[in-house]
Amino acid sequence: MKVPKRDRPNRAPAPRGLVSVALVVCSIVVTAPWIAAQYSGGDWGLDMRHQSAAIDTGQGAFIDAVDSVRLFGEVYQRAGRFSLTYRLGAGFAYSAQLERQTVLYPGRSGFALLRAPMTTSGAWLGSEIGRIALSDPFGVLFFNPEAREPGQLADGFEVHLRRRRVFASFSAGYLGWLDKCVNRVRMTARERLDATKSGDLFAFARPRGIAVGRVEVEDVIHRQDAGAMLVAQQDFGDRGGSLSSYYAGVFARGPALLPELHHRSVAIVAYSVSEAPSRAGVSLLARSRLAYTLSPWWVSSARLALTFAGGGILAPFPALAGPDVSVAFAEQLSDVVVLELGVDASYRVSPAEATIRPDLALRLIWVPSGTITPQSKIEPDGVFGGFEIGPAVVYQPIRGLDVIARAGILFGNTQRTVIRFEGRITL
Amino acid sequence: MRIVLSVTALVVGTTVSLAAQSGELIHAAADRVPFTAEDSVRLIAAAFGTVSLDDVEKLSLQDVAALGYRVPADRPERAVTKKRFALLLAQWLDHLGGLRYALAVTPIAAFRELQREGLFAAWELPGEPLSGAEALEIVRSALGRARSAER
Repeated sequence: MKVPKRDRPNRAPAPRGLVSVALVVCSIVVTAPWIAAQYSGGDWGLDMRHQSAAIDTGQGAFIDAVDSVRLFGEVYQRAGRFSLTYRLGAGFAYSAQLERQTVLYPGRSGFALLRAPMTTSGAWLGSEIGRIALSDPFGVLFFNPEAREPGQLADGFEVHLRRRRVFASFSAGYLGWLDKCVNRVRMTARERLDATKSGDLFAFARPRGIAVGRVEVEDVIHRQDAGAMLVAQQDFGDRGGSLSSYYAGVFARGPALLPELHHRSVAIVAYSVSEAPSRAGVSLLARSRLAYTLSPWWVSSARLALTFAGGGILAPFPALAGPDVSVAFAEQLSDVVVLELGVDASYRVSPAEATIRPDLALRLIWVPSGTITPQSKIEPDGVFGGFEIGPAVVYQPIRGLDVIARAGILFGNTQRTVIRFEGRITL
Repeated sequence: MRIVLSVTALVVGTTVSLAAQSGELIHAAADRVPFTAEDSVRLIAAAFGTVSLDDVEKLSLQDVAALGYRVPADRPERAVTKKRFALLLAQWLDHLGGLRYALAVTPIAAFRELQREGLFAAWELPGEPLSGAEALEIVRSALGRARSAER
């Protein structure tokens, strides 16, 4: 039986020309520096995590747990002002509750070339090729600290430059060679649900290309740091539900009016191209966070944050790989409005240098469209609105050993309670 | 003698600005080639008041090891690397550090600790040789931070 091309599983074939070029580049990169190297060395790193969540939906409770390990080794060489680093990283995750219990994947790996500055404040130029980690100055598009890989991985390259107060970078990569459990750029609800359902040892993510350009300037005016970012995400999948998206964003951070008051503000406009008319169009993600440093010993700071992502007459914001909305409302930042009020503190406790950091947040959440939320399976009855109480505590006996407990109790026309626990060892 | 002069500049610099000292003193240490592990030990020990300035020149790696400090294993005539210098300095700073350093006091763990503290820049590599001028600058920064922490 002949299966139409659009119905065949995605094998993400590598372009032959690209493989040849990569082999030639690798050969040069590997052999040339050994001749000129003045010295060489190496390093390694390890990150072990246990994450579990107890979720009560009112119709019975269940527990999810994931144990994961990430490790890397690197060897570097220096010749003159140039250093070349060869890095090999890998990750492994196990979850008894998921259909696909084990995930083994290559982590951030490849070659990095750096031209070091003459002085500590001088300019530096670096590049990286291989499996890179994407990042953004906003922390809303690519960085999720709770994910297996906090930075979104991609196979490609990055070039970055720092000169005085300016930092600029450009990176481009392909997501189709990632395991779909590791890839967090999942633009459709079906893709998000499929990510954990495969029983295969390795399952490729949907073929997508991504390019990120960013510029940041420190202390532009009145001690304000500012930056801009452009992102293009192109969907190469020929099956239904494709969504390509393009983003332009600006951000600013620094003191606001008072020295104790700091803000961090972001505005990102996205343009989506999709076969589904409801997903195509222009949308907006805007977030402003104000934090006020307090002087009493029992509280460190109070904060207020307002987030708007798509909704209303606009298309839903095409969220990439950023953090979830909240603990209990574990959804992407799309089609949601959130107002957060919170306080936090930090206390020194025994043993020496150990800290304990409690935090309490109240989040008002509104989903303008009222459509079902696939990840948390919350079924809004019409327009969903609710609030979440989120206590959290982080205990750090020594840097590199963290014990984190977070809870979220969501009240609305659907109620759910989530308690998350995380233990982490970083070496 | 050069080390004595350099250390004198550092110690005096706790009350009088280092910039006010003769540039010649700084250059004396900076010109020392190669700047070895033994030179590092003498510089750090004198700057932190472990030995008097008169005894600095007699201080050897063996003496420091006998005091209980972990001394990097390296050929003494070789220039000290940044990670080996970091190992010595971290012990003098009584650096509790992170988990990796607490589990195993190794040169690379010490280097990463001090890099995190800002004493080494992000792009510096642990195996890189360290010059006398760089060592002086690092010790000066470390002393400044130690004084700030005490206050």
